Amino acid sequence: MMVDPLEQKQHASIVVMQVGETRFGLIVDEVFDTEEIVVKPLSKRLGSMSEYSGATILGDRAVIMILDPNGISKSVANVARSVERLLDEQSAAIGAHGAAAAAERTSMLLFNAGGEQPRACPLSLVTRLEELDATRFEPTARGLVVQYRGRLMPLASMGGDIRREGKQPVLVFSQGESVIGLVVDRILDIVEEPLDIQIGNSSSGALGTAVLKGVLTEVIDIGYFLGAADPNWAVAAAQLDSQRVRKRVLLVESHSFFRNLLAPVVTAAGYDVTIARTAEEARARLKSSIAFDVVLADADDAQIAVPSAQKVIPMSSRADTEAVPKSDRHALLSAIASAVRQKDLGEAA
Amino acid sequence: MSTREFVTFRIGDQTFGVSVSEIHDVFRPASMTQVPLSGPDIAGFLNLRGRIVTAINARSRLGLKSLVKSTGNLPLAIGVERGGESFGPIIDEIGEVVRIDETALEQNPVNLDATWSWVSRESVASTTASWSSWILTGAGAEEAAAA
Repeated sequence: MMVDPLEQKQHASIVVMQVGETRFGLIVDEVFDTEEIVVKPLSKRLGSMSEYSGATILGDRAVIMILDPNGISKSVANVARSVERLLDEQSAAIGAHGAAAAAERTSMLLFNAGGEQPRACPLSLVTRLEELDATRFEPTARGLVVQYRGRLMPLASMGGDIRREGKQPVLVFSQGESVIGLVVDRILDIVEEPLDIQIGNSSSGALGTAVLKGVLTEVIDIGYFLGAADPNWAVAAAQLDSQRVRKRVLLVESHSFFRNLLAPVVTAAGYDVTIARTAEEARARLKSSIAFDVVLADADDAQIAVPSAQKVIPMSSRADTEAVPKSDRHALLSAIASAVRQKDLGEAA
Repeated sequence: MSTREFVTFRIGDQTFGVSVSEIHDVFRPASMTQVPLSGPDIAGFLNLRGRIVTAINARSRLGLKSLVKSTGNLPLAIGVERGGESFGPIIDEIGEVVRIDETALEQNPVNLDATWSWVSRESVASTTASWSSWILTGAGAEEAAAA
């Protein structure tokens, strides 16, 4: 990249990326925030540049480039060959083990919070990982808060103690204007594995137990703790509670980016998500004995047209269509909820 | 006698014209995003009413010497569309819409520089001394975009 060589700095931020099995760090000057964006493809005139996967327009109207970790790693010559080999191995492994299992891998954040047993939640739900100075935590009538990026962030614990001095690891969650910090004892790791909750757990605050990296891990119901910390989140959580019978959603999406973006969002909202990557796969799924309540179909890809009696919600990454925008998770979730309601009413009548 | 309408603009000392039907916008973007590693003909990305426009460095594309230093003024771009994509060649100054009699249009002179004969279809010698310009037809903008 055309950036000055790294100066001798005391502090540098490093963005850690993973391509296949290879991890590498990108030294950056400053980290701003995470944002949900709609990636627009680059002009064909720039198509040969593998460093970028696209561009997008931010809220302040600035155009920014989206880096492609795969392309960047390839441009670093020494890494390229091993990465390519790993990707080949990986795709071969996917072929052997069946595409569906690989497609449903979820990035999970592992941490300790009250107790030795590791706990986990989907990484995509977490806005940011922070280490905050515990002396800046201030007590209020509703519990501890901290001044964070110009806002007051309520802090909640998942069982562990909140430190009063030193550095406190915090998982930051944001939803619209509101932000909540969940305090953890220690952040352990990020793993990418199929999320298979084996022992359902009815106790509040946990979805169940799964084996991640060979270790029994309690999968946290993040919504429960967020609801405890902020009543507005509790309202959202209550809506989820009313859907105790998990509705089945078939997600038909050809792009892995959107699959990875949408599947955890819909799963986190309390639906059983099955992924189909092609129209054929979707048809096969629909023919099987499992009945789906809602089909989320990619309207951008003309090849994916699901012929079925099921309620189909078209979604698009473009803003100029009638379809639900993929990047707007609130619109997406409310579309699913209203489709489920309509279906239930239809069955009751 | 039929006439054609052209929008004239200036890059460096040279006046150019593009058919009015080819130009969607003339705009002064609020900011330009640089694209590291891109070729010299790509000036950057612009945001035009929520669309990402690829800005073309027209000076470099036409082999004109680049400005030694930006005058601090924001660039002026003309918005053209090719193959479903938006492009914005950066120009120095916008002129006016001129109506030119078809008979006044002439073929490119055979000794025209290859770079320019590529982007120019016809030329016209104006009766006024202030401009003597090569008419860049719409194809010119496309070719200018082809790095």
